[in-house]
Amino acid sequence: MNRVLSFIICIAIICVSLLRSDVYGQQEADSMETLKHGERLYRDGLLPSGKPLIGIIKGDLPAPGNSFTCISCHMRSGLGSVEGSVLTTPTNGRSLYAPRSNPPTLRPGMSTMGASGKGAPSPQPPPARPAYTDESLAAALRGGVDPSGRAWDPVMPRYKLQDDEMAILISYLKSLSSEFSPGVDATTLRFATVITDDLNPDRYQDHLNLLDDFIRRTNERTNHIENEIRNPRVKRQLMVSGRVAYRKLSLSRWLLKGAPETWRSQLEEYYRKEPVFAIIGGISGTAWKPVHDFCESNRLPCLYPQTDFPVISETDWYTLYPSKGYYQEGETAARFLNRGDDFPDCGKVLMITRESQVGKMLSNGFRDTWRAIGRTEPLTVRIAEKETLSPEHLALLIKKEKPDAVVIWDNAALPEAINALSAPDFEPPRKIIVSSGYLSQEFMKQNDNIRDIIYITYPERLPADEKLHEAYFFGTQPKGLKNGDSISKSTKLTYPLIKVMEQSLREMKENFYRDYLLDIISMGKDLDVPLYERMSFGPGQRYASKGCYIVQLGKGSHPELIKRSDWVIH
Amino acid sequence: MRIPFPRISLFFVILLFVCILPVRPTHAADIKYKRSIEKYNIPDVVLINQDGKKVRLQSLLNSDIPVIVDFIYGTCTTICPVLSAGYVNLQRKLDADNQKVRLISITIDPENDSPKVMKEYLKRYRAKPGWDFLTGSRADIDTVMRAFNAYIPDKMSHYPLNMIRMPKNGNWVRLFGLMSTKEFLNEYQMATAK
Repeated sequence: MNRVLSFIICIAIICVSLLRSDVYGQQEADSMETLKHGERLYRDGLLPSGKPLIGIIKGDLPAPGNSFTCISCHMRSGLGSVEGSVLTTPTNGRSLYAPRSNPPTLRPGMSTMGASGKGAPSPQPPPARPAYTDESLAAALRGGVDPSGRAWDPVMPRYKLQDDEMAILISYLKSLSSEFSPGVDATTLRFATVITDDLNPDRYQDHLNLLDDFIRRTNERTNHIENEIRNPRVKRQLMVSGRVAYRKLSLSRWLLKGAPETWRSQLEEYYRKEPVFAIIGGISGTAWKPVHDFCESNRLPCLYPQTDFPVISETDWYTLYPSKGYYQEGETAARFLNRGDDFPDCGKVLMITRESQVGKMLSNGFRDTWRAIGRTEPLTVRIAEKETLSPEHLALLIKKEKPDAVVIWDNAALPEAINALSAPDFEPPRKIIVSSGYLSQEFMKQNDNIRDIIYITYPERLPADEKLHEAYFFGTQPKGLKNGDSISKSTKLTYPLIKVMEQSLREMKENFYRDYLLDIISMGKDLDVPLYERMSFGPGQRYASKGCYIVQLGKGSHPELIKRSDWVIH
Repeated sequence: MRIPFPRISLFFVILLFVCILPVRPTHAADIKYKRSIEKYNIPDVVLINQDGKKVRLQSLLNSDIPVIVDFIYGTCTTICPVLSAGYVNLQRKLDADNQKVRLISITIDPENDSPKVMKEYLKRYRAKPGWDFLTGSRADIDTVMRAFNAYIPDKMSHYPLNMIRMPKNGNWVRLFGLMSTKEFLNEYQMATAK
């Protein structure tokens, strides 16, 4: 009897456990579903029904959610934004459900929106309010009045949300930037940089030295603050200014060995041992896609990696590249041929491209842009990686196809083939475009009598202009360089990263969220740097330098470069 | 000379009447934006519209129909969505009659704002014909911003500005700040009154 009873009790316990786990599983699934709907509402402005959320701004201005979403102002992290004179306050649960005290600088009569006729007045922080509750937050989202009775700025939309839709939105706001991202603890904010073993140490040593120097200088300042903070008066001031949220910085070097296909597992292993807050810089001579994909999967920011092979995507979020690399030269060539004022009827284009990684990036940039413009597909001839484009082969292709323009993505042997086209009995095309990046200094080896039809993509400032900006950017004698030393390209790309990091860490204060770091960088000021005309992100932009010149060689044995286009061609 | 009593009375009555008259017969207290009348010399630059077509700015702006200009950019947060919601609602209020108004948005981020970016932006806002988005070289965009006394060195220093060209005299109503549909429509009607 006892055994029967025990059996029944066991079965009952198992059934109850299964039922409970099923209930918990269901609850978890529901919660995930709610967050998914909340994210869609917050980021895309779409209700669970798929219809756009409608907000009313300035009392009577309807703004559909798909054009004016929460993320437009409060940003992906929910920690708000500043644009010109408009300051948007944080909207993550952690901020909303805590009381806000008066900022020390706020004086009576100040508002969050200035209105002088010229220039943007500095935005002023908002005044105190009690913590929101679910009820007061729902009321505020509908009616635009906070728990202190103060009306929200009329630019903040008022939403007519149903109760269930409101619950979804509030649930998402509570989850938004609620826990610090991995890579930070009570004392340290951890970063890593990635180096691949295909590179000679000369290529990355400057980069690593500059990053180490940045970490050392920042930590010295932190040490100074730690000493100062023992003084209660200083501590009070630092807390008010938000600077008390310091952390020591650490930088690990993640060396990736072997073929790019093996990098993912190496990255996973590094990350398992030491989760970092972001990857800063890094250099590879071969590929970046495995690192890019790893960062995307782990929602890990990757800032200013030095690669000629960035991943070109309009939707990926976590990697911020200095430029589109070779792809950008291809894009520019297509836009130049399309736009060319002196060449309005460019019809048939012959694209000759080497089947190398560089050739593929250049030709993809050209083809994607050419298609997007609405042009017919260029006639493409591919050259195997080990094959040489001989003068005879090139002449034969041109004779046969009779193109208006020829785009050639090839390297060292190209000048010889092109120079042969200047033979008196040969009718060359009207334009030939080549890449200075792929040809390196070889692009200077052009016969005088062919230079008129050769156009060169040049994705940097012209040399004289670059020198001027070096002096302006680095000073007369950059740190660690002796007189006569030239500044490496790697150094020129590392300095902007350090500037961005210094600025972003200052602004991030105690908000150690990866999405916030990216939000801050996207709202940063444009950088005027030696290498490029302008480095600039904006919300959602992922390639800082967007330009590339088209140049031609002047006459003579030491020809100057002559600009034939603006920095950006549309 | 003595002034006769009735004439003194009349003087004080007029003075009193003038004093109690409002400066502007509008709800000034309700207006949160700043309004001024300006003259601008439009530079002779060629810009590119959302279809990739070249447009001469002077020809576009010196028009018999009212023109409104703002400065925005394709990935902008906060300010541009409100300015653009204003444009699209004005188009709706005017029944999408593109002969009643020509809306021009000029980018302040010309490096990023290609025709493709601008076209997608207009599509997102369901812009109707009559609203053009223009880009160009950095030098030309800077020239245009300067001509409208709206130069900023950096897009993150952006501020909300609309300018309405009055067809009757070519002057511009400069409106600094964000407006409601009603305020925007009212400004449009005042600027276009004959």
